[in-house]
Amino acid sequence: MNSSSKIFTSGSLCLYNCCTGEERNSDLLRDGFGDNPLFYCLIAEVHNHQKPSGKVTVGFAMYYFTYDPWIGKLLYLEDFYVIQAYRGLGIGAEMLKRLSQIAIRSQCNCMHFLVVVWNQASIDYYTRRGALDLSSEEGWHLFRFNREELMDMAGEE
Amino acid sequence: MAFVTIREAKEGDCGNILRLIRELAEYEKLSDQVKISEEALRADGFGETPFYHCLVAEILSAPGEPQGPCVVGYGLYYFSYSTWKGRNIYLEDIYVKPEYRGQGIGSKIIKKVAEVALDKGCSQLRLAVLDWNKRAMDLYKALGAQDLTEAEGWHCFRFEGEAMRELAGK
Repeated sequence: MNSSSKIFTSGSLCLYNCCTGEERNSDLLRDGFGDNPLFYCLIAEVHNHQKPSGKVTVGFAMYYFTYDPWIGKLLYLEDFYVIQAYRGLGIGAEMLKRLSQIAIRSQCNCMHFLVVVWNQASIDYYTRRGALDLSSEEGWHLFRFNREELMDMAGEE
Repeated sequence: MAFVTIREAKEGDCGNILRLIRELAEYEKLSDQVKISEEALRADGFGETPFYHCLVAEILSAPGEPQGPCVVGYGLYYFSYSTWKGRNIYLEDIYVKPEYRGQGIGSKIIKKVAEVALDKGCSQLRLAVLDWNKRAMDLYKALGAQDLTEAEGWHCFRFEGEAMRELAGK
């Protein structure tokens, strides 16, 4: 890397968001930094003397722990992002390395995540590093019920 | 006449749940991938920090019938999180023994999970289905689910043990 950067485990209020309002910020604070966190976050920071804090956040990885009844605990990577200007510097690779170390330390057998199939650059990025596309290999489809459907189901006899 | 009840699993159900997990894996033609033990299921689901929650479908025998209650299905779920939507619920496994299908037990399990989802403030329930499992796909679509892989191109990816160790070691 030709700019000094650090990957931190987020214990502060610094959360990277592309677009957020006060409401979402308070949700994220409660859900990630309360007594029972629902998610964990790594952030990548770069020194920047022009900023009052002396640094700027250029990437993040948000994850939590899930469960596969066949093999046990998994680490689930929900969001993974490096801003355009800081790509190609190995920041993403460093975050994946930290995530893998966290997964192993937490007795997780695998890391799971979702990628949109038209995003060929992302697909290449992950498959180059040894990831398997389970949807293509094994035929898994992801289904979703939204809140409206949940209310319909819960409301029926 | 027997009737079915959907209830929260207890630690003592883990033996039955593991048996049904193996049956589901067999049905999905992936039975060689089941590595978990009953001890791990107990510790992971009923320890200080549960990593999953489970509902079981139990048939209660009619008065006068000699056999006791029998677990004939299960739904295993956990809570997930979306930075866009907040708390979600993920239904990892749902299974009903073949001889008890066609009676609406699967639907009862999903509806119970939907109740839990709403009760806990979740905005979505997600699950994964194999593309050849048309019966399951039809059930979920009939209940209002959307196939995100088909509609939006989402694919599930995994870094397995060896690939993960390589990433960690670099």
